[in-house]
Amino acid sequence: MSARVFVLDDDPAMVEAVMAVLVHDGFEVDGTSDAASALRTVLRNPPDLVVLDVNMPGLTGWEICDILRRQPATAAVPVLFLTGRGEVADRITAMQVGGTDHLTKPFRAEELRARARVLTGRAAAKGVR
Amino acid sequence: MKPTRRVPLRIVSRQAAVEVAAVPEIEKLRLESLLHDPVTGLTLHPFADLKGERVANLGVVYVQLGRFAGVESLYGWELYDRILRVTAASLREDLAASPFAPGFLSMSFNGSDGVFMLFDLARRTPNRRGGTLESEASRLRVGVVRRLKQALGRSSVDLMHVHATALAVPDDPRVRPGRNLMRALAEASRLADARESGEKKGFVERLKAILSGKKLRAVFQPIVAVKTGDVLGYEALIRGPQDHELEMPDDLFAVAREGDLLLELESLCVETVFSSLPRVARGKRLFVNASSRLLTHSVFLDDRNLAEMTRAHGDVVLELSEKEVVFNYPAFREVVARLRAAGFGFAIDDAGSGYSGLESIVQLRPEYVKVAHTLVSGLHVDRIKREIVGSLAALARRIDAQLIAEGIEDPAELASLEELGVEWGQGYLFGRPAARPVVLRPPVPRR
Repeated sequence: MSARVFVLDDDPAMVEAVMAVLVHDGFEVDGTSDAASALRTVLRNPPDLVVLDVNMPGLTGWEICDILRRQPATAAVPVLFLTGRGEVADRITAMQVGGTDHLTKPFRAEELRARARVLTGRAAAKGVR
Repeated sequence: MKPTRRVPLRIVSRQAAVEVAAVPEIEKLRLESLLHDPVTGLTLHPFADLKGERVANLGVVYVQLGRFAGVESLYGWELYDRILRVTAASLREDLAASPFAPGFLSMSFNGSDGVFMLFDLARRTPNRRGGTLESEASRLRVGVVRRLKQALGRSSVDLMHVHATALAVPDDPRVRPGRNLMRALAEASRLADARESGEKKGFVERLKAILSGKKLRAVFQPIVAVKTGDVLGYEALIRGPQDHELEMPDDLFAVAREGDLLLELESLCVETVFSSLPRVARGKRLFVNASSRLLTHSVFLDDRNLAEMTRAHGDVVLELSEKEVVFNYPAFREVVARLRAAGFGFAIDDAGSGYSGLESIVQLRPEYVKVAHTLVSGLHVDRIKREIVGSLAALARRIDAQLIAEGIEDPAELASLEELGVEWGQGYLFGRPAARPVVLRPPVPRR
């Protein structure tokens, strides 16, 4: 069964782009540009990986990651931050809110695929154990 | 005309209805994350669990972790998270066995360094020894200290002075219970502060004795090539007297900050280093820690002082912490230029600890960038840490600096660092700090 990825970015074009890159690699991808609906979907049906933007109106990616970590259903789901914020301090914040990986925009399609493969592979291994 | 206008209106209102129905769920999750500390699992609201009830005889126990010069910034958030987790778990466990347990009302975190526990004193177990609320506070404190030592070892806990205070708060019908309680919490915390400040004074006195007796020691830790094991140089590190409670440098500096003795301590550190250089350090690079405060001080900058240092060792690299970079000041840049002209090299210490941007590193143009040990520790299993070290490596290449990873303890960390292009390493894997340091052979990195 292919791994499921959920993408959230307030820019719909970025959601489309990420979805296209990952679908091409055999992932089952869903996404939205609305933070609240993303949170509902992910909590109801936890995917194998969540790809999150940080700067968004309403809930930020950091807040969403923090919420996901507190909910038993999503506490262990890997979160990949995909953001234009590349400062070291931003990466540390990503760690502090429980993020699993961090990729700075603009990114290369191959890099995103590689990270998604590693992160979902890890999720699958956890599930097996 | 009217019916056609109703259609879009209905659509708008339907959307709004969907949103309104959805809001409480998300808002609830958000509130929950605002009200609960993720690390301790405790509520941040001291009387959320009281549900507005008046308690005739309320007892408050407050356990405060020492705030000696900011333990969190000294040790980093990851270790502080562990300290908080151990503390909360210890209190939970010991509360279960407490004679006050039947009247336990709530336990909350003050969001920084203290935990409040509330009890209904009328409901304590009768006829049981164990005494007063004060002695119960002291029992809880002892439990926390013991478990912190078990979990984290001595040196990390030395400055975690744990204080506990207890207070009975009789209900007063003339005042609102919430405000009555908040005043009691403030009082409990004030009592803990007073206890702590007494203890701090004692530490400052002991530091003064170390300084006036010149009782510091210098130890040296090798910095070696990750690939070949060749020795680049040694970092000089400072220790207080052996087995003294101020033996470790973090403790010395924390107390010095408290007692406004930083310049005195640092001057003695430099003096101690140059008067105890081991034979092996000659001909190799000598890394010496210095603060911008020391470097800009007229006594340090004095030509005779600089000449004396360069005579004692001809190849000194001054390590400045990223935590206190001040390169934006033109005056500091002048000092750096002067020290360079006198033959000193520069290294940025604790890089990637996130206190400043990388901009300051670019401005100083150091010969070496030292990766903070908190980033090195466990980086082979942490993608974000590898990501940060990778970007430091890229930055170092851009400014022609070389990267030194600190605190390498595990061959797997070493293998990861090599993959990321880090040239030099330092840590227990290559040798511990010692007065006469011994370089260990680096184990072959696992593939």
